[in-house]
Amino acid sequence: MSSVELALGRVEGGRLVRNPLVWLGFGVSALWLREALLNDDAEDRSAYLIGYSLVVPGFFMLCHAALAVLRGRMTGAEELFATVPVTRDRRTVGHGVSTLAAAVTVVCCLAIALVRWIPSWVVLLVFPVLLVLQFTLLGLWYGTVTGWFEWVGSLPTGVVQDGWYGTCSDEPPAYCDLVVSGFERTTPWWHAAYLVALAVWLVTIAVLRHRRDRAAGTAFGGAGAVVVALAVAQQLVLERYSPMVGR
Amino acid sequence: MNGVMNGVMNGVTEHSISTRSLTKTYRGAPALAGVDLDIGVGITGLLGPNGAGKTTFLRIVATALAPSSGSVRLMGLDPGSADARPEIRRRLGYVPQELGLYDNFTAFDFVDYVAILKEHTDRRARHDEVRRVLGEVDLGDVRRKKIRRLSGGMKRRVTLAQALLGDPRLLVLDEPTVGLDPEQRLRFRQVISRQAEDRCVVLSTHMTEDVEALCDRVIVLEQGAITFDGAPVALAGLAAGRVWIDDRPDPTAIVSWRTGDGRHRMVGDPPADAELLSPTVQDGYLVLSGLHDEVAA
Repeated sequence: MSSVELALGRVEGGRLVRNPLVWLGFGVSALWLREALLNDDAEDRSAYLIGYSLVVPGFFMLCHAALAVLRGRMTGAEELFATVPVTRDRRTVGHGVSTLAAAVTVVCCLAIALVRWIPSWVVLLVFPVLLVLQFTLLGLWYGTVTGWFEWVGSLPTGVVQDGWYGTCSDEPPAYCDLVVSGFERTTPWWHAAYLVALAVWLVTIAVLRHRRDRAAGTAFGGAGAVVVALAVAQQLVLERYSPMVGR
Repeated sequence: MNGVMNGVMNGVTEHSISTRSLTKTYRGAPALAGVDLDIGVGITGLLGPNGAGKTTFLRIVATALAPSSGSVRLMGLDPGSADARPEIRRRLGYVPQELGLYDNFTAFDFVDYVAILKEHTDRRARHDEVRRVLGEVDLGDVRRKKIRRLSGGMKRRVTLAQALLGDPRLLVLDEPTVGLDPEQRLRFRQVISRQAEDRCVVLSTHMTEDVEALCDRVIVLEQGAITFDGAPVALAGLAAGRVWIDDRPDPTAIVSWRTGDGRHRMVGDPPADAELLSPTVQDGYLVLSGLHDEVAA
């Protein structure tokens, strides 16, 4: 990554930060979380903390990223951008970098959570970042606003309860897939690694769109293999979860 | 970048654009048919009807489009080479026919964004450069206005400003005066003529007045081929003795129109006793088009 991508990321990130809808979304999220933390009912509390609160700002961030990715096509600026030294691949990276500020915030929150043994729901803050990254790349790849849904639509519906994370059934007894045992008081590393690998794989897809050589193909295949391996690993360590009575 | 390339890129070579047997076809239909051209420092105007191949030629010269066959050299470099292409683009300014502006950006932000894409990464230096080019096109006072709030002429000047970033040696302008009012066109001519003192400017236009006022050289394209290449005065000269004025229209004229004083100005083959007028570039272009049509028929 060069200074061009960083400069692009700073500009795009600045526009994201200045977007009042994103802050409105985070305001709603903060109110939601406050309500959740004041709620004594464990089930309701978990329901509040499962990341639904991040859907609103996440949605606005997605919209912002979608428009940022697609505005070149929508305005007809691509003809001009085809004559500048910075190629579309590098612009793609710049869009990804634009989420860096949010990613740094997430890493800080995660570090604090780990140090202070805060339950692992904090890690869910990483999801908007990943969603924006994935959406950005998929938006470039598909060229449509809707193509990403099938890929990332399920991510915000994950559940965290007592340090567990997974996509859970609403019907009693509640149980969760993709649950990693042994990390009850830390983050769900396997799933986080899977998401990161997925994001890397999506980057290789975006690169493949413009550059089809051996290195790009190898990166695509390698990243895809890691995604599959981590998906399988999650299944291997899967453990049904039943909420403890009385909590 | 090697020394030879530096040597070529640091100054304008004798021919900033050089094409040989340049062709471009779209699904079998030729847009350019074997164009041979050498273009150097100064302002060169491209004239021709819609679909003549002007935009295709300019897009190839701007490295936005690859030719179907033939060769192109830009500032001594081959745009077909992946190594040379970025070097060419660093020294190139392009104003496309479609503006392609980001309406919710300010003029400053948009030009700044393009500056990053032109690899101006040092923030302070980049902002100075953006202010400079916006000043060049007289947009310094409105640089913080959103583009959607600017007039059509101002938007045109924003696109021109981004093209001037980095002091390009080659400026490619596709119909840059469309939609400008007379005052804005005069301003535009002023800016372009300032830029053209030591660099190559190629512009396509339908405005023969712009060619007459600005260009050292004019090239007329018809159906992808060059039908005229010379000075504007030479193009006007094609109509010498073929422009006349009369009280009545002559049906044999290539074209005639009623002027403000009620008389008819005509271009074609005048009668023996006709009152001849000095021809303009437009007259020469009309004669050339008429001749071309006759040959084609």
